[in-house]
Amino acid sequence: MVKLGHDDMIVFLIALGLILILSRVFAEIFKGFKLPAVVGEIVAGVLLGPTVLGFFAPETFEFIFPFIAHPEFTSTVPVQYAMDAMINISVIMLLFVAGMEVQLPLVIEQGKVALLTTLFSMVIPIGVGFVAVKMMPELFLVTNGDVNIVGFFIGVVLSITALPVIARLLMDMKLFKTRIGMTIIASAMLIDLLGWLIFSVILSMIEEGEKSMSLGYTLTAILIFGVLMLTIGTKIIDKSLPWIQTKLSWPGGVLALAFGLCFLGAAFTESLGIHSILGAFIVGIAFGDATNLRDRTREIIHQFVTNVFAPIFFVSIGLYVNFIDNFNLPLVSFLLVIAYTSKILGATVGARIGGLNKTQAWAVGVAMNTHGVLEIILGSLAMAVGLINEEVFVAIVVVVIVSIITSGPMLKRIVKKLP
Amino acid sequence: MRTVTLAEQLKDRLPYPLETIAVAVAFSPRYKSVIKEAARFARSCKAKLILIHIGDFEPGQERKLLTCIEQSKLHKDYCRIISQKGPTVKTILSICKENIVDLLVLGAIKREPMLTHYVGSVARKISRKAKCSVLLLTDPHERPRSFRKIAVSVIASPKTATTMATAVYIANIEDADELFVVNEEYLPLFESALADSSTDKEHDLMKKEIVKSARQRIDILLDQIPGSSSVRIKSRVIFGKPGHSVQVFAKNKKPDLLIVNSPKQYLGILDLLFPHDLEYILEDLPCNLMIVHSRGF
Repeated sequence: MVKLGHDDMIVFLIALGLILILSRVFAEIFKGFKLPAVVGEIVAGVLLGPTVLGFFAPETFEFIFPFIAHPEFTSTVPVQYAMDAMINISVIMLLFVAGMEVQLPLVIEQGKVALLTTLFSMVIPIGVGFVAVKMMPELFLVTNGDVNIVGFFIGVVLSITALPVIARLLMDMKLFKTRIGMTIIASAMLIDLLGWLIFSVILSMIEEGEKSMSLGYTLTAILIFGVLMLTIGTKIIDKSLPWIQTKLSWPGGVLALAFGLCFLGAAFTESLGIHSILGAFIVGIAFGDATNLRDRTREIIHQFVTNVFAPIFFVSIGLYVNFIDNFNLPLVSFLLVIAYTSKILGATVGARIGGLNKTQAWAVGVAMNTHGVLEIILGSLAMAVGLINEEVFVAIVVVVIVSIITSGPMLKRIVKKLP
Repeated sequence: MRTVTLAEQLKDRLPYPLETIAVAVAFSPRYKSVIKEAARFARSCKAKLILIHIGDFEPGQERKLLTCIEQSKLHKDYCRIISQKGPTVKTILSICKENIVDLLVLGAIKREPMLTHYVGSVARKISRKAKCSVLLLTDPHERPRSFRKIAVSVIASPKTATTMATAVYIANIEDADELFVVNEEYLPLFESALADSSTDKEHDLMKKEIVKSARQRIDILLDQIPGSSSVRIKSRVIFGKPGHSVQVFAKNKKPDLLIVNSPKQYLGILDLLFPHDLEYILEDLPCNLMIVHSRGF
């Protein structure tokens, strides 16, 4: 049995400690600029990783993160395993929390305008992303992969909207409960759900050959699991929560149930040949939709995952990827242009057809062009399976950060024109 | 002179004052209590009462209804019986439309078995589809009493102002002891948006601001409603999913009557699979429920 030795344990714990403390320091600094914690966490990773620390003080970098600086050293392999497991668990928990944010009844209630905004703000970016990769495969460095799958993937990345980031922005601007706010939130929720379903299909398409799972099998499995979890699963969780929250220790009982179900769901989809993240995401939706879930419990789950596990994942991005070496200016510029035009255009057209006036529709379009956490997770998973390389991944991270920085000021300018 | 069409009479008609009240009669064990409750309410509102029966009367049934009316001390001129054949829900709704019924009264059990919930009982189906206001009586009495403690749900909807005005109207008619104006604040994503970048103080401050602006909204709405000053109003701001949070509130506070908006739209099975708003209340009725249908929305 491979075990962490005495020295490995020290290396692993120092790395974790530094990641958590520095990510919080940078999250607080960026909070001062009204930017979400995720930006600070990524910057902390870039500073701690090969881009800055590894470049200016290589010895220090090697001393603190020997398992990254010298992955070939066998003595540090267990640390790599431990780190990899931590990052995977963090992603699964992040997806569980992302699922908890999706409220399907709200989407249904918003009706036509939310559905049309969702449709257009997905179809147009996916179409643009697909055509862009198809026409310029060399720019996206598609060498060994299937151009169609990479195109589809880039399109999905462009189509997703960052729910918590935009929610905070709307709350700060007192737009959350307006028709615009609810349209944005409902559409972003539906896009999250559809985006992850499509991405799971993409991952299955990549792994199809390896595991001999047919696309039809994957789609059927996703559909059955999703429908059962979101109908019967939600009801069972909802009915059991009052008992768990009152008869068992609180919040211990409900936390055990939440994360236990999250991991079981993840294991189940992984065993079906679909990625584990989809299971965690769908269980998250079912759990978050439970009306008997106390607000305080919801808050504890969010705090726990967002402040402990999310930083581990986001800092690890900068730790493993060199952002200077892999910064491809033409690619970043092109991706920024198509991301902004396709998403803003798609969402604006959808909202306009859905019944919003011109200014309201533009506000929806600009707000929907806020990318975030999920795109980075999508990118890292795609990079892990070899669908994209590090340059494309860095370009995605840059698009996410730029969109987070610009969405607030852009939205404020349009909102001023609202009657 | 041009005759005013039914559609024109119904268009933009306010849900109050209640001029015509109908009660659906199915000769269930509680039918007498339901009729007597409806008659008492009709007397209070000085409204006409229509007793709706679907299908043919069995021998003696019509007599039973007439006795009930006599016992409820409602003047004969203010009461009539309509009996029609046809599919229950559709026929009741069409009678209500033709007779410009302002309020339809139905007896309803508090909680239905799971299968009935999904298949749908008559009372629940009508509650979702009716184009007039509906009163579901969960615990009707043969010696009815007025609604002394009333609660009204306030959510972000264009219908809310009319629903609140209807609640004030009923509270005045019933001479209610108190009217709870319950603002349901639903903030999905509030916790996740604030989870990683706010201090405890900021979090509390933001919630306090939400409560403050909700109270201001209630005050502005109440100021515009005639008769609100003569009712003892207690305003409350609660957090949670609309429908569910007020259902929990009603279970705790035990009002005699809960007043809510009519649903925005009826989506059939989707509403049952992914319940929202009214569906949470219909799933487990906490008390008598009045669904105010604001025509024109």
